[in-house]
Amino acid sequence: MSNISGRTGQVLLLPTLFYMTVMTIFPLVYTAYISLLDWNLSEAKVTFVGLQNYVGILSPGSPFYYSAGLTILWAVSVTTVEFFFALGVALLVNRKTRLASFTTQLTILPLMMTPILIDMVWKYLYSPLLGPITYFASLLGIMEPQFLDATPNVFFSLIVVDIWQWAPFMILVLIAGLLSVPQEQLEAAIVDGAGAWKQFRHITFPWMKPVILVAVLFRLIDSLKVFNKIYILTAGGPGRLTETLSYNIFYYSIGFTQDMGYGATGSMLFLLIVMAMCVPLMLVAFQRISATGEKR
Amino acid sequence: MCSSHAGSLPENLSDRGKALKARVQAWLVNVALILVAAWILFPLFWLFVSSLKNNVSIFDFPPTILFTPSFESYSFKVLSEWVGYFFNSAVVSVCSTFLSLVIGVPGAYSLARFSIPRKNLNAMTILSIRIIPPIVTLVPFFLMFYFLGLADTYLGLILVYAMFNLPYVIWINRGFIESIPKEAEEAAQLDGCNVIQVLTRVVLPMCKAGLAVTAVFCFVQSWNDFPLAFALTAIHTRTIPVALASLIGVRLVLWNQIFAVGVLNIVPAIMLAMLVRKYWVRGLTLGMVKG
Repeated sequence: MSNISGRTGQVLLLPTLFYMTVMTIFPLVYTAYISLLDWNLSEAKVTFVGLQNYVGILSPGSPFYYSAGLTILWAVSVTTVEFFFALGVALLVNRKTRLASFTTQLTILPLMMTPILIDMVWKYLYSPLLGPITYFASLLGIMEPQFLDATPNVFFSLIVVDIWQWAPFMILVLIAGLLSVPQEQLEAAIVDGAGAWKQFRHITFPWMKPVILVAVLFRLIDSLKVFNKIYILTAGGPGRLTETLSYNIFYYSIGFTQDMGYGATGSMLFLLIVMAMCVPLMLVAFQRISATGEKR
Repeated sequence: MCSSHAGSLPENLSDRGKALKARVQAWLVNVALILVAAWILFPLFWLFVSSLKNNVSIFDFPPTILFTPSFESYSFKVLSEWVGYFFNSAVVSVCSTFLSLVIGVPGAYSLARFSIPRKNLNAMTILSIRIIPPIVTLVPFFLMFYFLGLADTYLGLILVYAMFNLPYVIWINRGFIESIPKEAEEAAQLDGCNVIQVLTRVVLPMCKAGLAVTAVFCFVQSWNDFPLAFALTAIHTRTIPVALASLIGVRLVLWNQIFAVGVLNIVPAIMLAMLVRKYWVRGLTLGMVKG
């Protein structure tokens, strides 16, 4: 607006900036400080140890490496699998039949459900003594399947739950992308005799790129955070094989041992990993969006 | 005449082949659609059906589908234990939604309409809250709340949820405000309204959809959160997800009762979400994809 000074705008943004400083920036700075302390709540003393926590957590053989690797591998694999699954479903439901729109409506349901409840339902479904999936497996001749108690089954079991829970997010976003593809171009391509694959490769996919970027970005961000699923379905087990970063940090800082120094150090490193993976994508997405925004 | 007759015959045949191919294709598509629908409904079906079993039939193996439904798990005796948790969840979700709207909406207006220094940087910083894993904030909040006496209080949880809701409020509303015409605001300003009056009397009434979407997203997010509530609440302010999860560790899990509470727990979120179904994608992507 021409006749309102930028100062008014700054004042309007002030509550937000203040709140962020107190509730986001300060806690992160505080975490950085705690990571320099030897502080276990079960002991009375707090000592300043410098970077010793980092040395400990990054020493060879530290379980932190396994958790970090597992978390990154998990995020990359579920994002990839869910993307292709969702793309398939989005192309499938992108037609004007009653069945297709019914299925589309259904995909909203998993996204609105309490995540912890979803994990509990799947724990019941997988349950070795009374779970329906266990029963169906026995019909197929698989007796005593260990969905959550043995590797590598447990990873696939977890991925299946994640697909059920989060592929709908990608499906809905990709449907929105498909709807933005100009119909005239597709019709022109059909007239020119282009097959389904060529239409997708040269028209649909290029138009959907920004939307795909956003879908992948958000899915990557959230899959790195995975905690509920591990807590409910496996509790880090069998052994410590499904201990993701969120679970590891939680368990050794607040859940089991009260080692604040470890928790803070792990948190700082976790945040670094997440930023390194997500910020570049976010910047690209942001540029794309402001670019298309200007075009409109 | 002769040539046209000769030409129409193979054409007819190929037409019929095409029709057959199209019919097979439509049939395959329908089968695939039914499979997808069944895949989504499968856990929901068991959630609902199991909640209608009694304390004995829930342990049947193989799990039964045909049984006399029992509303035992929905009885007053079972649910009365949960009233307090529902209340806690409602207080925390409503208040944190309100707080984040009060803080964030002026900020969204500012980013949508004013030329302020470092605008993109501010927008990006706010968005980056969305990246922070909740676990990373647990240690500092746990200690801060302990020292400030905010542990296991409504206020503590409300403050934390409002922070995680802020990027939704600002990014979604910013998009909505940008999409409404400026003229009305300029007219109101000429009539002598100050900026707060312009915002509350002109902008917000025109941006009801944006407010509704954000409110629903903030509410559902706070209502459904587990890790933060788990670490920051104890006996007084425990929310439903935390109370539900606490039942998992016991030796004999009464799934029917858990699922009855679970079914009731998803009702408010689903009803609210249905109201803004049209803007669902927009909300999920913080306004980045206009669905």
